[in-house]
Amino acid sequence: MSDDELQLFSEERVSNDGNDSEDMDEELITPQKLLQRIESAWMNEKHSPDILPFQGEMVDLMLGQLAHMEENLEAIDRNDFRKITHKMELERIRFIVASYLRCRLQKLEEFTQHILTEERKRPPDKKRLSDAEVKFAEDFFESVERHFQLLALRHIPPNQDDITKRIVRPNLMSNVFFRVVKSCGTVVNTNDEEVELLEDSQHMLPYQLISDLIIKGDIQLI
Amino acid sequence: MDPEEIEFIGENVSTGIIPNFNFEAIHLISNTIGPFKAGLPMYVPLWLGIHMKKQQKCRLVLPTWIDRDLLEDKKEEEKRDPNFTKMPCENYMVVSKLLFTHAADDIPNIDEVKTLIKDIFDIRQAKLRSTIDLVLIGNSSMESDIKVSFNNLTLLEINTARPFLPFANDLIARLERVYQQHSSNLNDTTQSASHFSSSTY
Amino acid sequence: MFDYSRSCCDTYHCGSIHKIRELILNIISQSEDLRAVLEEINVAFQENHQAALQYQETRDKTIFPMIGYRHALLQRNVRCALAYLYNRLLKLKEVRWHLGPTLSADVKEALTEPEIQWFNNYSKLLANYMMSYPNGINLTANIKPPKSLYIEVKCLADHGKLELESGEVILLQKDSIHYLPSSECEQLIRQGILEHIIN
Repeated sequence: MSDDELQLFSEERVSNDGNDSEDMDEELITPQKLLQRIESAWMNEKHSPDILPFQGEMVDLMLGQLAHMEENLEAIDRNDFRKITHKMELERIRFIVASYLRCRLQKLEEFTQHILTEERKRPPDKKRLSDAEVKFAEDFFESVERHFQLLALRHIPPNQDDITKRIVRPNLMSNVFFRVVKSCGTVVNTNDEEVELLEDSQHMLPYQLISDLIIKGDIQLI
Repeated sequence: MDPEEIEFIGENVSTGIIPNFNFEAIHLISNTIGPFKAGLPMYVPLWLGIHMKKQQKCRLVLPTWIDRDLLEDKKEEEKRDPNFTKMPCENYMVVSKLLFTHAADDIPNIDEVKTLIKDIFDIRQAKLRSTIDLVLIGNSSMESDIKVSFNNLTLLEINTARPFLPFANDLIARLERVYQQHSSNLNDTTQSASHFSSSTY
Repeated sequence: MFDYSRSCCDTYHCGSIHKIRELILNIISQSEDLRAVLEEINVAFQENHQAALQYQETRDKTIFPMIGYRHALLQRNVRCALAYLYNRLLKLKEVRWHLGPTLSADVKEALTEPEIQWFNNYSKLLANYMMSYPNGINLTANIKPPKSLYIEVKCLADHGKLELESGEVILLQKDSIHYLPSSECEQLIRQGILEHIIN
């Protein structure tokens, strides 16, 4: 199986869906690159206060690969060195993917209303959530509201609760650390000073000032 | 971030090993490793190197920077430079800790090496504390010639400033916004008050 | 409000078994107190309603501050009641992530019927989400970065038979020691049935 593992990856295609990042125009993605993208998405998501565009295609591709590899490994003896090595790597990648998805679910649960409202305002090509995430968030929101209704709101006079007053929003001005992947000009910080974003330099700035650079892939949250 | 996650990321570093067996190349997702030839040095990810070492399948080759003389120079450089110097390894704390645990018998002058790494870390932590002070006092104050810089700070080090620094900075920004709002409100009232008084007279 | 640290760390990280025990014990039903808070809202509402009627007759503005006060009290009570219910849901979420989809008898005892329903519904939502991936992905596993494929564990309670993915069946008896795939004992460790032996 050793040689066809790589081929298998190169057969996978990443469709060109006009996603806003410009490096999507390549048709093939190597396994290393796929992993790097997922690691990068994981770190960005972990450190950003708001939800970022979902890297669903990468996740699907990776999960497909993991499943396929696991299948191939079944035939090999469990003490075989190659099997152990692959298994260890599988566990590591599975952790990254799971942690990435958990991190998003956690934001969906905490900022449900805010995220859903923002998502509805976005044009179809700028959506940030997967269908399953939207469904999860909507159902979650509904379940909490129904719970409030059942245990509290129906026991008090109507209109005493204003749902718009209890929207939980992330603090978009919270400071984040990042490394510049590709030099991208300057940003003006909150003290009206210009900060030059040179390749490999590291900074701490409010998320909102640099969120578009994260999505473009010019900077990486750390 | 969780310390375990920082260690996890550090374990991806490529590390030299000398295997004691032969085996064909393995195509991992992250990279292709091997072929393994007994006695010949090669590179594997650190997590695998440690696993193999535990199974007595290899010897770990130390990275060149785990060296007393080199670290002594590094320490001097770190002392002289007001900014953070570039470390020879992005995850030097994680990697050295793991190697101290799993390859202790292969590290010459291990106690001195340990102390040196700890010293360098401490010097950098002291700089980080001054940087934090500088950020929180405000860059707009008189010391504007000193630039705040996080360049070359490693992940573990950034994490020692987290969540305190970003959190405190958020809080200050929030207070400033409230203060500005409040003082502009005050101005408004004085203005309208004077407007009111002038019209009555 | 100050969500930075919360939004950037995985709160689903499993805690020690002690933390989980504490978590369960903290879920103590206080439905009597909740009822009192809701009743206070109703009383305040009624009183304000009466006051408004009175004002229409008398045009006596001196009752305004009292109306304002009752209104603030009412709003505050609504917020507190919902915050209380919401915080209990947060704990239920933790129970789901740490201990799995089945509520143990002692946790159940501390919950109201709608809370049990909410918990089951949440489990369902989560399961639906996890099944939306081809082959499914279990997000409640792989909570911590993996260290090694197999770990040594000590059994803290009689648990009966455990079938491993390899098909092998082992008997988990109190004080027995096993060498198991770490991915397969993660949940049992969190439940306090197994203990990871670190040497």
